[in-house]
Amino acid sequence: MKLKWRIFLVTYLVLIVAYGIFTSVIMSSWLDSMKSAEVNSVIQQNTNTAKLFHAYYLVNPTTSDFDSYFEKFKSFTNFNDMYTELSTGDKYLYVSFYGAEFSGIMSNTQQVAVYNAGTPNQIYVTAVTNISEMGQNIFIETTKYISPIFTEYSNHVKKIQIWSAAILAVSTVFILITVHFISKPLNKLTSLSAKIAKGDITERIKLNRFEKSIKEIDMLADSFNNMAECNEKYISQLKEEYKKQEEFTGSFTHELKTPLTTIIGYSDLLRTYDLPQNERRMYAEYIYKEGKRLESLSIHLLNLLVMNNQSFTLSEVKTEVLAYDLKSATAFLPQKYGVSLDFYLEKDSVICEPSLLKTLIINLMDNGCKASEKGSRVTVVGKREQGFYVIQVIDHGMGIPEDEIKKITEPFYMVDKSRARKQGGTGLGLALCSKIALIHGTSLEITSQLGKGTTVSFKLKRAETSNETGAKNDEA
Amino acid sequence: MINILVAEDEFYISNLIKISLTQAGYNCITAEDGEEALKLVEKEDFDLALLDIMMPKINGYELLEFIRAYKIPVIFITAKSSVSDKVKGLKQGAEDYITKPFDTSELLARVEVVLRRFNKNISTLIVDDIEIDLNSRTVKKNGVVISLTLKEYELLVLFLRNKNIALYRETIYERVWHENFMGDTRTVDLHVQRLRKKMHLENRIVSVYKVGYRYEELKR
Repeated sequence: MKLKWRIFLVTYLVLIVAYGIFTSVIMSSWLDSMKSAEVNSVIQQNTNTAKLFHAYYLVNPTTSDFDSYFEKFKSFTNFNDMYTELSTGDKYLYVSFYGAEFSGIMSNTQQVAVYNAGTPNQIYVTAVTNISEMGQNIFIETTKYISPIFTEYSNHVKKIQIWSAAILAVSTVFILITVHFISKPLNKLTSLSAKIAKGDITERIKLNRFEKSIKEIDMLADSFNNMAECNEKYISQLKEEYKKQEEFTGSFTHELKTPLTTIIGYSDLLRTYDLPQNERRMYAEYIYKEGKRLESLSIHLLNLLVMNNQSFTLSEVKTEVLAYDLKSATAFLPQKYGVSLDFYLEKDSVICEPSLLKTLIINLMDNGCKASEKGSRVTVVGKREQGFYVIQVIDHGMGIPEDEIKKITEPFYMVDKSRARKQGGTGLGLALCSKIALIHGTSLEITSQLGKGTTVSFKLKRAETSNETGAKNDEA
Repeated sequence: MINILVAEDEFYISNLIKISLTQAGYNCITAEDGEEALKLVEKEDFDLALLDIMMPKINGYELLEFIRAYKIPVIFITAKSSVSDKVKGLKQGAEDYITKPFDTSELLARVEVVLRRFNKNISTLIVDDIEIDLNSRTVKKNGVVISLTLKEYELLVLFLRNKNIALYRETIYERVWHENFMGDTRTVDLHVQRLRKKMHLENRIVSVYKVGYRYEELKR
């Protein structure tokens, strides 16, 4: 059942029950007090009458004819609404004028009864006193017809019922209105959630002025909108990542399939035909080259994947040590490419992961060499700048076109595919480098001019123990 | 002579395709990128074009539009192998879609299918005094029709297509019997004997020591 109706029903029922209990409690206590009043007045009257008789007897004793004596007395003591009766009788059983039975009214005691005289709604109160005079039990009875108060009670009850109905009707309307106004924004939230669940993630809840004034609902709507906002952001983030993932997979499979085609194709030729020696050698060469390419691809890819799954600890490293390691690790480059290397690293201490940092710089240097002509130079510069330690790898090679600069760190992207392949490139080098930069909390900045050269730089955090000025020791 | 254009930026692959196609008797011209392919199409007549999709300068899809204007059928050769890629390629108007890596025999078979569709296929194979009508599968030597069994026919076609090249027994078996060679050498030898006899080619189909057989062309 909807909340609206549930609230309404509960409130309504509670109202009815409370109201009912309230009115019936009031009414019955009213009836009780009325009844007590009547009973008390009858008792009072009875007591007074008994006293009066006692006095009368004292003044006017008699021994014989009780009936006429009683009649005489009664003529003094007739009251409007109460009936008095005197009689002699048995103290063990006295029956009043209207039929109430009293058992055992002892001398000088009084008993009271409220009773129905046969037919319903004929209700009487009778008080009886037993006076022992003249050696006899003389019963003085006072009776009052009190049905009227019950009738009055019923009339009151009816009135109250009518009023109750009216009040309840009006309050029903009010309750319904209130409940409606509360459940409307809740319904808004419900239908909105359903919309978002179906996929419309841009929907937000808007409240009108009244709804906003209910603090809880306003807060609920706010947090709901926040949630929807986060949801939307998260979903678009996921979509982005998924797209990137798909692109990566697509490029990867492409890079994989091409060498495979070559290997399969040429080996098929070799096994099908008995080919002349030079052709055999040529095809075997092709197969070898493409096999090596696959090898390099898988190594780089593995590196990339491993980096995703590991956490690295950064430590303080002196740039002197770094420079020394770099020099020995890149000693093969001049021989391989005919390009000479220069190192200018200011003395300092930086926070890094040394082996990763070396991989990064060596990779950049390798790229620089590949892009340069024989006889050119590739320079590695390290200097303090604005609180960071900036490392730059500078080459004077062919450069990168402006619009491709932002793409070159994408996995498998190669500006000049054929040149890259010839030099054994896989398109993953810079992707790896940017990953390493990310691990160090920095990123690669690439500036380049076609035909002039390229500079790749990145910032490293300086160690706290290193002094600000430091000795400017250029190492060549 | 049937001219086939191959637009593929990877040298090894375009070379591979060129070798296979030339082997099969087609004239094959390669282009390294979309621009070069376009220039070639404008200059020469082609009967078929094999296009890679991921090429620099002009990619395969764009190239497709231009080439179709010349009424040249196109087969895509590419590493993009998802179903949606294939559907896209075919819907754009390619006659067929081959994914890398591929077997060169498959490539040849598909090329043949497309050429046949456009009635451009090589219908006859002529080597020396032997004339084979590939459509009707009739074999004539010196104008005289010789009846061969299916296997003998396919064997002969294989030899003539690979004239002057030594073929391994395993290869012969695979290409003609379409099964993996499992050490059974007698089948090939027996059939070759019978073929030689029927066609009087004892001097031309020579056995190659430790390898298999070779058809030696008369005119050199």
